[in-house]
Amino acid sequence: MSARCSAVAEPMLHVLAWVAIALAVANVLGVATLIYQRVRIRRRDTRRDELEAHVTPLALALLDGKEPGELDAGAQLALVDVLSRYSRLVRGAPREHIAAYFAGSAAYQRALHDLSARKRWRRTAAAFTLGDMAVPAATPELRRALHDRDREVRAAAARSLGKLQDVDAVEELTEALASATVPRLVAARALLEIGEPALVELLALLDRPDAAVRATASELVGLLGSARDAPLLIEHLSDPSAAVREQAAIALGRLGAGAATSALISALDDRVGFVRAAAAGALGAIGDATAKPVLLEVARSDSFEAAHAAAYAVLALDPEAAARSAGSVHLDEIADVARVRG
Amino acid sequence: MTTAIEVVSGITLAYFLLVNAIYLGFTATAWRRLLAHQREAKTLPLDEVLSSPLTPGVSVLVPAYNEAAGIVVSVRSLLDLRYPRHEVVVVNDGSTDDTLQRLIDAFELEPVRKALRQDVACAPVKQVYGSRRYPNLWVVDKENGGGKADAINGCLVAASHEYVCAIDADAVLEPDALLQVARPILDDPEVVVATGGIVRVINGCVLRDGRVVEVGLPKSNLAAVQVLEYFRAFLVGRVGWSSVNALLIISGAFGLFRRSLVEEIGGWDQEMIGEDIELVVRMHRRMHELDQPYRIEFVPDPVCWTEVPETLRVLSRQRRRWQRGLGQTLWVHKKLILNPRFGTLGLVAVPYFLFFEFLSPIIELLGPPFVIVAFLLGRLSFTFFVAFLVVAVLLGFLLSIAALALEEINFRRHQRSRELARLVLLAAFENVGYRQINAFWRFVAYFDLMRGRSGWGDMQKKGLGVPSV
Repeated sequence: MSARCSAVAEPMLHVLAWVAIALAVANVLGVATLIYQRVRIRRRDTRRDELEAHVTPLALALLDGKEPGELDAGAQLALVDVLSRYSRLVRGAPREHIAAYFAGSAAYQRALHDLSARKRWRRTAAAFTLGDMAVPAATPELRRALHDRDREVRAAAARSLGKLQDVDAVEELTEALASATVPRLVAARALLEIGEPALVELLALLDRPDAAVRATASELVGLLGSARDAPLLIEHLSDPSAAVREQAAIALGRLGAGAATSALISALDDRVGFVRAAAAGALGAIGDATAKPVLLEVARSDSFEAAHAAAYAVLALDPEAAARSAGSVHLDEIADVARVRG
Repeated sequence: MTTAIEVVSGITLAYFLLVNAIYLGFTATAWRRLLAHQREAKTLPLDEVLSSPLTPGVSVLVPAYNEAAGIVVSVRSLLDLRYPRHEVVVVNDGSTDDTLQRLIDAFELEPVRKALRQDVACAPVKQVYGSRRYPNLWVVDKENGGGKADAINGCLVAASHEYVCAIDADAVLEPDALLQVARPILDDPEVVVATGGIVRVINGCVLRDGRVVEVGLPKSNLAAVQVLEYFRAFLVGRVGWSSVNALLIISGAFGLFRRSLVEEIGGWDQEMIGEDIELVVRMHRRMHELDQPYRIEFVPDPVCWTEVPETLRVLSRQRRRWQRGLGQTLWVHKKLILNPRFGTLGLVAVPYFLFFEFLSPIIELLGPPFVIVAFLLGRLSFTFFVAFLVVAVLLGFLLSIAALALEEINFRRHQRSRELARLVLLAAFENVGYRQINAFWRFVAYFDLMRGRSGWGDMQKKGLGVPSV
């Protein structure tokens, strides 16, 4: 028996011994790495804090148009970091001063170069940083990056084109939104940053076959457009997709489109509850008192979401009437909310 | 007899090899994912998300039972979270202390007749309160429904936003946690249905106004060793499962869910002890049944701080409850086990949780005695036996060190070097004693399940109201 045991165990024993040695070495290396990392990172953080303390006054002065003067390599890198952060918070002349500083810098050239780096994270970081550097001349490269093979890079490029308010990128950004080659909310935020110049392309998206695209476009038209755009949105209150009808109603509310009141009142009969809820909310946002009786009716008789939205629309239209309203749990709620919130 | 011993010893050894191979695989995946995440973290424009009108609204759901000590601080910090559109819905779940009165006094609450949804069941609501000062705060006073699931459902029926974030009343969220945990949803709202963040141990930290202002290790070794356990569970396990879209657990202390889906599947199940894991499994199941593309993601940045047990008695209750919850969930969803229709979920994740989590105490407790008997009977050489023990301990240590290194490289929350040294020491010793006692508690849970025991037991927490270290 012992002979068989040792015959079986012998090769296994050798394997185990080697595994044990490998594990012991790995453990020692693991602990050594921990210690090394701790020391290295602490030194790096201390150095970074010192440099940041040094360059922060220079960065603040640069926002007012004062050149920072000669800096060593470490300080330059720290200044790039600080200015990149400030760039997200400022507009107008301070942002132009940041752009002017970066335009001739090695950091800007390096970021442009990194847009074609082999590693995805490098390209992503470069595309993101270029938005913070605020140099308008970077936009052609960023537009090219919108077609990068990796989604993260495309998203970073889209975000930066928005930060740079690149009007020439609108078509490509709307296409990226429509084809979902960048996350829809990222593309949408970029178009919002660009603002009104994006509107024409967004209105064109309302005719796309993909319902999700039409819905997002409706939402953005509501944020960027004006009452002039109401007729097109009113048409989409009859869209085959409930999500588009919902977003069109919300958009009309955001635009405060008084001309849409009757169409929105008709939308209170939509077969889908969340569309009726959106229509009720929009009527509350538009503030046309003629909608009050029908909203009260919806608040008394419709499904939860629609009735709830209708009750809050009544509260928005006429807080005093809301405080006296009754006849459903939703109207009871707004009566009490009106009382509690004064 | 000796054949049986040989078989059991063989199973134990094979099990050991397999489970550690899986852990090592997860660790390698987690390294790759977290290093990539660290590089990408610099390109996450949270402030832009914060200021965007496109960011969806979130209702933060806070079930509270006898939380008078810390509820005001907790709610105040939740109201102060950096998020463009959120409301806080607190349920006073039939507390026997003055939780409700403290909320009424602190937030100037007044009774309101709030319309509540009827599509999710919960114990009767006695009264809803609105605040004069905070229009985004609701407090639901309801009868005790006998569990946390019922209490969260009580929050859910009053929630109004598209997403709901369930958190424990005594947990502390970092100011950006909601923005960070929502990020996958913002990137892909059509596909991502739920996300969870990391839960960290608050024992030993310094708290001020409901915020962790200084991170520290607990004095108690029992609590400190749980810091390591949480690193392994979140930074290795959840990152790994999330990478193959088979994340089964989003901690009940901190998770974000698409409200419409939660309502569609009936909310949190009141019959379940592990209501958090069961909800996530049900979400997976529903999305598979609908054959819709979806993702449930773990996000490693957003932090929820929570208190862990500092006594063996309370810890044993917690671990037995977790094990009962897992067993109950696996039983209810047994249809998923090795079912190819459910893809990675049915073929890998659920079987893993059955064989390597739920049933592991059997092997962990019964295996070693059989190996010892095999050795005593001469079926195993002494050298082999010792070598096996050495490998087991070294491997356990390596896995803990790898998790610790992931934390150190990516997050570095524990700034004091002596705390890092202490964690390394604990990593060396937790495989001798702590792991076995854990296995014992989870083994005892089998008998709890057979007896049909379903309660939570008294968890005895200090709460946020108690002065911190």
